[in-house]
Amino acid sequence: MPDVSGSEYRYLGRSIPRKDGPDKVSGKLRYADDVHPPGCLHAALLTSPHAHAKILSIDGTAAGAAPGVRAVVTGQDFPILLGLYLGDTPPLARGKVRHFGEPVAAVIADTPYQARAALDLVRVEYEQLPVVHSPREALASDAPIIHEAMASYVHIPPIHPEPESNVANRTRIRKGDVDAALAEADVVVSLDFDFPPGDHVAMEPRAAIAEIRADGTVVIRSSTQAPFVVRALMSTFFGIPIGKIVIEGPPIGGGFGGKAGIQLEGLAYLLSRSVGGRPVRLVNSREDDLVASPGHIGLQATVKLGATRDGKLVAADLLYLFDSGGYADYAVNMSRAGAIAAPGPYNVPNIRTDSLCVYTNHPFATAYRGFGHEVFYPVERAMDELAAELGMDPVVLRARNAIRPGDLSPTQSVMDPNTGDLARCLERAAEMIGWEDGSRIDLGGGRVRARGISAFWKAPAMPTNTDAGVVLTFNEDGSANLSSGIIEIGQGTYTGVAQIVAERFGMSPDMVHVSPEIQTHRAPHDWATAASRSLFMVGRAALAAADDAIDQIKRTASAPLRCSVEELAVADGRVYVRDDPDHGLALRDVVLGYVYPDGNAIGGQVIGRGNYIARGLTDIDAYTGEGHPALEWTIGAQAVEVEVDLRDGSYEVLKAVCAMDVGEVINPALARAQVVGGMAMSLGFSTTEGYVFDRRGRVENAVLRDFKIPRYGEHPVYDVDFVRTPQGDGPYGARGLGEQGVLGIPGAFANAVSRAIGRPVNRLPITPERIWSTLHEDTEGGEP
Amino acid sequence: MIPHNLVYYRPSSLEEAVAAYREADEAGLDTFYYGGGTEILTFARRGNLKPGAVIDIKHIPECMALREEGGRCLFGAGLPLNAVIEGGSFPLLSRAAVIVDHTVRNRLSLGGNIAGRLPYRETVLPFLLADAEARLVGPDGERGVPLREVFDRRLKLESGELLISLSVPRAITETPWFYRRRVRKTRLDYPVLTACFVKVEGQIRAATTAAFGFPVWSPRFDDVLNDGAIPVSERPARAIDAAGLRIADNARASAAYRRALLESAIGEALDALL
Repeated sequence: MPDVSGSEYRYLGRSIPRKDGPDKVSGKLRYADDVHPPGCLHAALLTSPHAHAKILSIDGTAAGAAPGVRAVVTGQDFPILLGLYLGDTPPLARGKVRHFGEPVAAVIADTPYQARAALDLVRVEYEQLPVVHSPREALASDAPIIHEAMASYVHIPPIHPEPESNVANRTRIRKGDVDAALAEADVVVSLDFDFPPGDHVAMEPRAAIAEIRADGTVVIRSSTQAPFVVRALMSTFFGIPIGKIVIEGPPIGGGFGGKAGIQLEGLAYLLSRSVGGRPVRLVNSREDDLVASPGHIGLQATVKLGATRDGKLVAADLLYLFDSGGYADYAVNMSRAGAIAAPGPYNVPNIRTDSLCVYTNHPFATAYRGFGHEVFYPVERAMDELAAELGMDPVVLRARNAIRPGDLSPTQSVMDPNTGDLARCLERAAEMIGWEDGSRIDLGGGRVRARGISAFWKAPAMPTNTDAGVVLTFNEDGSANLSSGIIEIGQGTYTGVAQIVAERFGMSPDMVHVSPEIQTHRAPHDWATAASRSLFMVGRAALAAADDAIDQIKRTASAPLRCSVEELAVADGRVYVRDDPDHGLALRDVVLGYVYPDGNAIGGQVIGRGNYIARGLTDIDAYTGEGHPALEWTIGAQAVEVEVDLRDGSYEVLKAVCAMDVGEVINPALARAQVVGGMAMSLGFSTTEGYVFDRRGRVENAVLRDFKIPRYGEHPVYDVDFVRTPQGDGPYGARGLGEQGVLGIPGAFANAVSRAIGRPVNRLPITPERIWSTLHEDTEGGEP
Repeated sequence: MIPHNLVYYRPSSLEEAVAAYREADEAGLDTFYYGGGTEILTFARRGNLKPGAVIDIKHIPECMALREEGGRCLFGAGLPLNAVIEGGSFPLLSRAAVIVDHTVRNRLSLGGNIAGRLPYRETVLPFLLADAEARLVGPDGERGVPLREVFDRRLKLESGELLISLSVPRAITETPWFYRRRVRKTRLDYPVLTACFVKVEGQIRAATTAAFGFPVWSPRFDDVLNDGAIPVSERPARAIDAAGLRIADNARASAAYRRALLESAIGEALDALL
């Protein structure tokens, strides 16, 4: 991708190599589990073979006597409940198991293999319980209740659990009068959808190494996107003074939201406590990472859209049933965030959304690159059905309904002048996919090529007081050290933030060193590296820190340069008189204090401080959804081209494109990589991924032998373009883009397949067999 | 991680391999010959297999042979699949050996694919069609037998016996062939259908795997394919029925879909080869 903003900026808009690249490609980077503290013990987890069962007894006697074993613990040893928003999760199952793969016991031993070997000696007696297989089943009046004690669970106020049912949260959006609008609409389409839960399959399985130091300090090194969230929850749930908890956050090998909550840290701490505070390593096996730890949320939905004859949307009536699995984790907030974003970047005057987070006996769910934005797939499919009913081009239909500044969002917040340009994104996506060539081409011999389009938007879903901080310190050569609370999760934000500081200083990004790991007792506070908010918020804090440092540099330099602060400028590693650039000082002679020839020193070291806190956000009303929860919306359009063999349903995805309004592009290559990575991930769960359950709710494909994800070499051509409506309050006008590449792909892909075969395909994943069986169904309309 | 200890043998001759097996077996160890170890490693780390001893055959020259001799093409059982593919002397085999990804094929051995635990054994199909001879060695010494006599769904080896190599007549490797592989979605997955067809002296031979859950070569199946009294369009369905086997039905593909894929593959093979 060509560099774009070169004329206006020196370091922004340039694809400088990522700072974490050399250590990663050479295998030298130290991930969470690459550290082996002296005296470290190793834990292994015994997991449930059942989806829903009473635990009658657990006998760890034989395991406890096995070689090298230091402790065998079960849920009975830890009478506590953990949770992000809703405290529903025992560290180890207690009384009963609620999903296949749920940890029921842990063995701590001197070596990893002793711990693993001893697991075979733990005896567990279960009594199987009726299994809840889907959100729709969970809502049936006679459904087994998965969390009998829900009424006693603690939760944050924006979450609305419904005790005596399987509903962990219900979010309502009520905008306008949907019933009246649907009654008057010229065309109404209504469709049902579903897709199964799955997994992120991050390359790095989750890991936590916990120890309790002699002074009571709890130190946990974790593969976490959210060290400060972990620290706060550890303090809340275990009563540890927050300052006595240190979370170490090294770079992680893929997070995608799966490492954004509290994961293994609580259990690792309890395990360390069980062995007198010695360091304990708890590292997921791949199989545990697939089903014992949380994965991608499943969804069932019923979507109804009404429009006028000329293609203006008048109403959206939306029912979303998120499949939370056995525990709530982030899912209770994802169902809320999905409701806030549905039906997507369209100006719809009447919206009624009921978005439920529903317990089932599936492995539990958490954030998955996006946050409940699975809601777009049903809507985008329905938009194509609507276009067909209206005899209208799907691109035109979407553009006609694009949300614009001044329109009301689903939560009835006024869209501000920063609102991205969806019409332009649609136009670009259509151009890139070759829409003008016809969206369905019969190639003969049973082969058809077809294209599908979709739109998406996403704002960070985060607490209203979400903040970020940056501290800049300086070295003898004038270079800067940047410390923030964000984690390198492969997204490249360290590089982007360095470019932002470099731009402000007018010095090479090589002169901005970013700390590769964070420790919560040293780094400025931050919420989490999630929600596509890091570059925006930490970028803003970095600008503030840079300005603060520059002010200090000027103040120190103004004395030896014998001028006023206002007359000075900083660039090219110097501070100099603006109108006489030869008159100045090298930064290296200022940043640690200026020393006069006679030895007198002034100024002291420069420490730049910057912070940012989200502006003007509110929660939403429990009954109408009214409120202002969205900091900035990133809007875009995507399109997919497929070639399908109608004889047996086999197909190839030929091309996937994305046009996204990101404001300013800080680093084009990294931005493109984020978007392409998102599209690739999304094609994975759209085409092939997802758990397969047997009749007892057990996961049949709980190993990578059977849980297939696309590999390099199996991908289509990707094309990405950026539209640049500046985000006024973003750093240099930039807005977030880390997750958005995922969001429109399921809809665009399903639309392409549906168009190719002339029948709607409303379930994911769309495998060749699903296409074949859809084509061989007798009834019109078919699935589901 | 294999969470238990095991004994590793690295023989450099067939005699040493057999002796190693005897030694381990007498010590009461569950013993496996192996080439690549991909199956052993992946099963053992999850506790589905607990080998007590493994015997690495990669350093036995006979197991690594890849050559033509006496009008036959010889393939050592220890060859990694990429060596078989790049050897190129048997085009249908080179095609059928393109399974999983390149990195795994650098390890995965021909003998392991045929004699391992996984039921698909895709690389055996070309050999079943090509009058292959299997070279075996065991406690009673070496023997050469027609592959079809020792292969029924899986390789029927005596206790302690090792597959050294397979050989096929050069002439058969040059006959017309047709190959079809279908997966649930990603080609790195196991097949839901793999079918190989060759035409030898005017007669079509077929072998499939995955469709029926394991490798199948059936004279009754081939008889239908070659029966001039049956209209060509009816032969796919009739041949499948003639095999008299239940079609596999599981999470990767339903029986109905597999049957449709198999009928389509046979139809296209007949078009290509008749």
